[in-house]
Amino acid sequence: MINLVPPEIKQRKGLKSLVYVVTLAYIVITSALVLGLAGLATYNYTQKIYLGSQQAEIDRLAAEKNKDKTLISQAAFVQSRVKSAATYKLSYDWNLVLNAIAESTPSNTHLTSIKISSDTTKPPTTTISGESADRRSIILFKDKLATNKLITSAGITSLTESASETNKTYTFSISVSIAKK
Amino acid sequence: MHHLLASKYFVVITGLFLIITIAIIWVFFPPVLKTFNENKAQSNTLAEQIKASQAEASTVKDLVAAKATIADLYDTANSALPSSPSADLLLLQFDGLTKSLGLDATITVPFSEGALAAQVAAPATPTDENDIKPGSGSSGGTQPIITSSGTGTGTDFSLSGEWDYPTTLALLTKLKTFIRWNTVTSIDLTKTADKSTATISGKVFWTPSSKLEFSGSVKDLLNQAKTLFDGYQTYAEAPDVTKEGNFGKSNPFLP
Repeated sequence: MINLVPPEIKQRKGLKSLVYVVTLAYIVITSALVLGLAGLATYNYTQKIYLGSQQAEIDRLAAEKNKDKTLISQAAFVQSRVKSAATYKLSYDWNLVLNAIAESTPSNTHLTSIKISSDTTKPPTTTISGESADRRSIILFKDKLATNKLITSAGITSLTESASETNKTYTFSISVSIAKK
Repeated sequence: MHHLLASKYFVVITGLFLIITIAIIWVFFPPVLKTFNENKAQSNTLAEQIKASQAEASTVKDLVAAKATIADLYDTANSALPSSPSADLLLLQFDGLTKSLGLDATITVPFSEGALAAQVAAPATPTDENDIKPGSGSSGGTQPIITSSGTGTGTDFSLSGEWDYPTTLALLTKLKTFIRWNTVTSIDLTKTADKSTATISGKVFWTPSSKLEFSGSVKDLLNQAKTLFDGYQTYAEAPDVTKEGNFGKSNPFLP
């Protein structure tokens, strides 16, 4: 079959089809962009509504929490005390110290005073005063005190003799350092 | 391409296409994308907030379930380490402590000026023999010994009386489990021919209130608090003017 259509017309026809194809491509691209834009805008809108509901939920939970504010503050108070309990633990067990002194006292010796004083900055000092029938017992008392694990050191600070008509007695003072609990 | 450019229709449609595309990309997309990103960030933040709020709500639910226990523990914790020196309650507690051992004691606690006025008024109108008379029956007199309130979080106290060695030991043992957290700073035991005297001095603690936040598990808190406070003993309830006492006299000078 012989094509009798002139080449110019043929060329114009081809050009026209090409323009249509390009136009179609333009429309498709533009539509995609518009649809994308519309999609994003719609998503943003729904997201905004969702965020509003989320915020409402947070507000509801906050209001619920606020309702029991007193209870929560009480629990926080108890918790703070539990946490700080260790800070207020006793540094020394004075019952043990006094028992140690009693257990170390010789049978022929009696005490007239025990003075313990301490503060947070330095170790406590203990002064034990008493009377004994002989000097040896006082030294033994000091040595016995020094063997106790609660006591870091013990030393005689005074020892005086006082004689009465019936017998001699020895008055003494012993200074003792206490070990931390 | 040369032929295409020759087409008027192609040039117009291409121009239109370029204008629309550029407009969409440069004008419309940026604010929408900006909003998208903002929403995404806000969504993440809110999700975290909700998660935290839900955890808090769950904690509050547990706290509500243990409401009575928490209230009891709060009272105990407040007695152990109050937010203020609370000298008046301390005096009642010491009074109860010494009476539990059947001791006559002189109790010394520091009062602030405000509390001092209240304290001095309290023993003036006793209604029965159980009314607290600070220092009553003690060897030191019938009035509390009042010193000025110290600064800081430690309040000095002293207990003294005609007690022998075993009694002092018993008192020291009781102080170890005394509800108000304390530390003994000095002990003075003296024995003369006719009597034994003892003075125990120390500090009780308090800590000013600050903004406290509860965190952690309620179950753990209850276990730890019960274990901690079960060992302590209280000797007096805080006075409640709304629930106790008889008030009103036509002549307040009459006995």
